[in-house]
Amino acid sequence: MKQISCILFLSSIFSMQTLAQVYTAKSGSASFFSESSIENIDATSTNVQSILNTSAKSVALIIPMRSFHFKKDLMEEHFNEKYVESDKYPNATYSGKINENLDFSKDTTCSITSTGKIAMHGAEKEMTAPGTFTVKNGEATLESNFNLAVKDFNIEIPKLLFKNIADTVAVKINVIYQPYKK
Amino acid sequence: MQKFLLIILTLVSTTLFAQDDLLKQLQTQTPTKHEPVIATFKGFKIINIETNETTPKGNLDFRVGHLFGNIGGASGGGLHGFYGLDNSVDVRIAFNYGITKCLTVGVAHVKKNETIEGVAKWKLLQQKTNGGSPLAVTLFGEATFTMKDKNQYPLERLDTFPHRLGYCTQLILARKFGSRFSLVLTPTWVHRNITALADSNDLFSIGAGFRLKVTRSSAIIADYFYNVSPANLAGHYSPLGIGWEIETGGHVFTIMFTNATGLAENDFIPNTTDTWERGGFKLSFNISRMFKLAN
Repeated sequence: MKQISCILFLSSIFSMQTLAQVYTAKSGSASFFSESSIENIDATSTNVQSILNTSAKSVALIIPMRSFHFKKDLMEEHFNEKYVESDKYPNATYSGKINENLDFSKDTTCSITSTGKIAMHGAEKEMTAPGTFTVKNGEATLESNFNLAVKDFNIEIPKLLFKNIADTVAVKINVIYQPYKK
Repeated sequence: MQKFLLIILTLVSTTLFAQDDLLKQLQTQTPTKHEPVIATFKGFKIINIETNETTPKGNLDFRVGHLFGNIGGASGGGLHGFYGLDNSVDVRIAFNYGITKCLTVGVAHVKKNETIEGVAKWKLLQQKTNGGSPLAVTLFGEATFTMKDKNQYPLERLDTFPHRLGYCTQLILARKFGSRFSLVLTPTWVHRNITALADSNDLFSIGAGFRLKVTRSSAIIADYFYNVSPANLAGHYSPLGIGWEIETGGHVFTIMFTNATGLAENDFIPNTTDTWERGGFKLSFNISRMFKLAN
């Protein structure tokens, strides 16, 4: 019994330590772009939620699908209703490890990579994405650009429209972090 | 040995906490938002009935509605009228503009009674996701002015300006159930400043319609009006519309059949004189194009 409580005590110290090094998104944006011969698809979300744990070197992101806004209202309706089915799958999420050490204490710009799982439209994919970590005037920013294949997420493009919709989309993520306040 | 295992287990779980549960922690602190429910219906009307949908803000919708003649031979169709396609019972040419995301106004010309029609539709309440409003509540108003020559009009009493006016007011209650089924229920008040002798100036009617998505891009649609007070006059019937809706890219194609004998609300609700039973139903279609004029 003594041993168990000792272990519990130890593990709670561990988790306290992880909480102490946690940063959350002050603001975040995500956009995706796809080009085709007929029309370009371009959407932006300014509602990216994120949490970054520097001691465990792990990161998590949530992007509500409904927060993506398009220039054409009809495109936004089709995106939500037919392609990502946002009523069934409301969020895109990412959870992964940062493969490098992040130093928040001094101004810096460095290239990093993150390996983890991206989940969207009921499908999951393991991936490693490149990124840039910047600290300037005490504010930390994480940026990442990568490509996603539409078919990896069970998103079907009707044969009639394959010329309008490209099979890969370029994704850009930008998050500004602040220390986690309880 | 047991002690050793326990320590290992605890260490493993702490690391797991650090990675996977970070996402769970984020999920719990992300507030659930009530987003407006989208695509309850694919058009401003199902067939005859208005829906909760409005023209998006800054968009101008140009629309031509066409109602052919009766298909059945017993109602004037048959082979010699090419099943109604040689006739046009009504044509409506309309412009609708979204002033805000909740308010649309429009003007139209309707062939049958040489009518100039003004409409307004106002979203009072939107259905929202995640336990928000369960219902969309929308107000619709129509005012019409007939330009007919007073001798030409069957009533021959169009001698004053007010006699040429008619109205329709509807409270549109709509709800999307899940992702496939949408229902609309519409208490309606029609007022005409002049009517035939046996007819009544005021009419109360209940309209109902639905859309049932059967594949990713197609749906069965139908709507119906039941005239509550007064009931239909002899030789008048309740308008029933049935259709098949196919959505491709930017266009919605709808194949619609209805016994309605007009395209303006304050005309087809009181004045439908054809019945499905005698083949008095017609093919109807819309051609529309949306132009984005402002943001």
